[in-house]
Amino acid sequence: MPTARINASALRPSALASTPTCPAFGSEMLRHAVLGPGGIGALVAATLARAGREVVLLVRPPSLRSYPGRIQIESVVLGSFAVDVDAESQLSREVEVLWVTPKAIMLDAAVGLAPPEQVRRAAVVPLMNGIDHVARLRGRYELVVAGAIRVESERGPDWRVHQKTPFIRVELGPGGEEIAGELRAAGIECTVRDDEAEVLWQKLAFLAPVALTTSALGEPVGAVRNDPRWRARLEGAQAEVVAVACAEGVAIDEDALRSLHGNGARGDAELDAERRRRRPPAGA
Amino acid sequence: MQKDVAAGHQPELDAIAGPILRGGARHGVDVLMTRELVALVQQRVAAAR
Repeated sequence: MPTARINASALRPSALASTPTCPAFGSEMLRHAVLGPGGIGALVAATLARAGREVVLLVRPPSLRSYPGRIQIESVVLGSFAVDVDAESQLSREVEVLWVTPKAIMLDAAVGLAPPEQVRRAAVVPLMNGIDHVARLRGRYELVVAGAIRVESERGPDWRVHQKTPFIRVELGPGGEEIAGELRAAGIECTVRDDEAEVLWQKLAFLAPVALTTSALGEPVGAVRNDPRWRARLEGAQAEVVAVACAEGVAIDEDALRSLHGNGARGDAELDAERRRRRPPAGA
Repeated sequence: MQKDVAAGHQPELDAIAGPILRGGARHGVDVLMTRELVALVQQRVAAAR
């Protein structure tokens, strides 16, 4: 797959011809907008703003009225800091990156704040759960770079963000190199993969079995693991998502995935996964 | 998602389970457990209203 620049001019000669002014960047810092800034989006926005990037939040008028003008972060990875971040209820400035971070059920309402004619050839980067939003965004915007984030982060109505996992890890699909550089400069770990389906399905294969079993049981993942019947459901759901991903052309190591959920009583799946990942293999 | 269900919020159920259910149907892959879990979550959502 060819490496796409963010402005994708190589991929979109017709768009280039009809719009002669391209946003200039390279060694320049990129300008960012964040659509649907909840626990993930506010974390990304504040972190980029702290690193000196121009950032604007896109929030609906009721939220805009109660927005205090700054985001407070309490993060295991990034520390505690507060940073002023602009906000508006409709994208009115030129940006190179549009992060899309609402809950999936809010996506249709959220995209109204970022009209395609204003977004133009900015890279649209969703960090959302699921798969289907990528195609929906492609139906609206010129350039979409698939993404996924592994983190637990929550934002309160007071715009304080609590980020609890000892990692913040972003994966981006093809075309994400320059954006990955922005994240890394701000202190967020980021990997770019050649295969966008892999970015999305790896995350879903990890997330879906845990989300479904904990939601069906009404208890955290520790309770799922500790009950043999629920554990069997977790593993059954895992086998299914692995099989579907495989049919979609994405190979997921089922044993590795199972071992991710293998132990740990704390009830924090991502945290347990991280502990596993960092533990040297037996006999090594 | 569990916190959303517990709080009576609409969960991201279709975003998370939809690709598995639809992908299963498309490729002839058995996704009975996912289907069962989705039904249980839906019951919980309905009960929380």
